Amino acid sequence: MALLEVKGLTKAYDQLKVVDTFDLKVHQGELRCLLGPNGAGKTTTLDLITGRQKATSGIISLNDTVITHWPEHLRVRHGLGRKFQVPAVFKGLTVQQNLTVAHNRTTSPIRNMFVLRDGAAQTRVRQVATQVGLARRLRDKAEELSHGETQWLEIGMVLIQNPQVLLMDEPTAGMTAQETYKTGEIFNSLKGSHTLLVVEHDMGFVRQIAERVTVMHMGRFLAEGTIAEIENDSEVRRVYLGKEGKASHA
Amino acid sequence: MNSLYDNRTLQWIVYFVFFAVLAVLPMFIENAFTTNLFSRFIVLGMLALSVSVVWGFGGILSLGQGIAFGLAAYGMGMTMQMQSQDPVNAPIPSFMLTNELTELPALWIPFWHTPTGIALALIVPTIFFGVFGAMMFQARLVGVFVAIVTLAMLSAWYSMAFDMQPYTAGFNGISPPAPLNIAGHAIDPYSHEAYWIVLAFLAALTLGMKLLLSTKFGLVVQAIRDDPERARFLGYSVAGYQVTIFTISGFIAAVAGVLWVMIVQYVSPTALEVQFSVSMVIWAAVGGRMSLLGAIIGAFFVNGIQSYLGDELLYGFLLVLGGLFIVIVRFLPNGLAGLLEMALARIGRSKAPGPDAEPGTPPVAASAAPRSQV
Ligand SMILES: Nc1ncnc2c1ncn2[C@@H]1O[C@H](COP(=O)(O)OP(=O)(O)OP(=O)(O)O)[C@@H](O)[C@H]1O
Ligand SMILES: [Mg+2]
Repeated sequence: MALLEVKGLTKAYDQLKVVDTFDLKVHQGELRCLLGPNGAGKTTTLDLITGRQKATSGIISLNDTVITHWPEHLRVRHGLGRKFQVPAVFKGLTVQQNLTVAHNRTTSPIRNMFVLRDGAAQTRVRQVATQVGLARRLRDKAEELSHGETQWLEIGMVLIQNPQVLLMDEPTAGMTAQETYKTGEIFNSLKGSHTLLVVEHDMGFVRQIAERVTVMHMGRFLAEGTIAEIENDSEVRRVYLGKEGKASHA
Repeated sequence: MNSLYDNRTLQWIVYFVFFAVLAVLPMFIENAFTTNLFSRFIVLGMLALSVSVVWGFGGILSLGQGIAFGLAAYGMGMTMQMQSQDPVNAPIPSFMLTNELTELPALWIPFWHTPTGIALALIVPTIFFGVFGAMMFQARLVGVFVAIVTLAMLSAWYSMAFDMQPYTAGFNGISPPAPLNIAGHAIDPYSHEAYWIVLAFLAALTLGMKLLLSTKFGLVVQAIRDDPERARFLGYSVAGYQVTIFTISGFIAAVAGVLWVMIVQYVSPTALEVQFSVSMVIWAAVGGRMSLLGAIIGAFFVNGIQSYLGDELLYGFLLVLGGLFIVIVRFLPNGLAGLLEMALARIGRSKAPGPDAEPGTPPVAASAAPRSQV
């Protein structure tokens, strides 16, 4: 049984189906890449899984529990962590505060009123900050970070939650080649111990991290396999790599 | 990094000094009228505190803080009024007689008992804020919609207080004939004692809020202010936190309402006027809504000027105040506290020149940040 399973997932705006009877299974410890041209419905799929948008039809289950109709915060508590395509961090808070908020062992307002200093949490905050290369920026406001650092902060915020499934929407968007490579190393270090679903455009990055790749096109499942299989798939080449081919050789 | 907003120890010191100064202030005031005026400022400072908590930290622009203040003020007015009634000889307040009531309305009966009356004056508005907040925040109302809904609710309460004349004395309001009496001891509204009571409540609430906002709860509340959706996707019930902070701010405004009537011996629908609640927001904005102390000082500052100018110049001043509000919200989001912080930062920089004071800095960088130039 898959850890995260999506069956017949559909999102329709009037007649337009932006996600169309899409199936996906992600197993424990797997790092899965989700590819597809612009507008393929990747972000929408993550929106449906996390509850940011309501599915028109289909079933979403996490760890054998159907969560299709759950509110967002309960899905998160059940084991989802998400990084947004447009980096979303708390700009007015420091890096340390961002990570502290993301360390969400207790979410109840009342119980959190009695948490004044949490030593264990702060130890964990420093660990994760080191992991994503922000250890020296803990006291800086998030709004002072560069674009790449902001991406890392949000990745760190997903890591510190320690969710069962990490959903990453274009984690390297806007990063320099060096930053992208470093991000790839972080992701590789998570393999096996964590379960990830990563949406990416950067083929170099995908080659660096991917085990299995799923391709979607116009809201539908198109292909699935290893990176080599996908790159040699004629359908995929036609709809996707044809356009992105240049980027993959950059 | 070394800003006033981040240096916790320095903040606590400033808070204690501030309240110590306020505590010794009445020693230098002989005039009872002035003492009472200062007591009033303290209560208004408490209202600015409630705005700072809900708006500055919670990001909820509530124009309805007057609801809690007004309901509590009526509760206290009723309590003090009933202290002057006699169960046998004068069981009903005289304004009810003129409104042709022949017996005390059920609503008023609990107020015979002073502790119950004061408890109700605090609990009812607080619960109301809890329920009202739950309705707004479960529906994910944000920003200007919250402002509009709270304003509409405030107007509804105003009309009710105004129209239910037999129960509230309508436009005239309730003026209890005697000061509050606690266990045989009357608290003279013009006394230093009254001032110190009011100040003790402000100090307790301010320090309590300061502490609360430095817990994880306070951090999450501020995170939600920055980006509610991000907080939701970290597993927090955004509505839960918003309802909680809104309710707490309602409680603070309710305490202010109770104390207000204790020191003015009067309550009328003006407590529920729109203009009053909007003013509270302006005080907090002027002082700096992101700083509890800043907001309180903002209330002292604006009301101090207002009472100094007196009634003749008042309308002109309100116009200036409106303009000031726009300027501050646009250019100085941290109000006077922010100005102070900028000044401190500048002093710090001129003592120890930072990177932007070094000779090698290109002139473009300096002109890009004109406000940081000395
Ligand atoms: N509210 C909406 N109404 C109608 N169509 C929408 C709406 N939101 C998104 N879409 C469409 O849904 C499609 C899928 O969008 P989505 O953001 O999921 O694509 P994506 O695969 O993440 O693309 P990208 O690689 O550019 O991020 C797009 O064609 C988009 O225009
Ligand atoms: Mg997308």
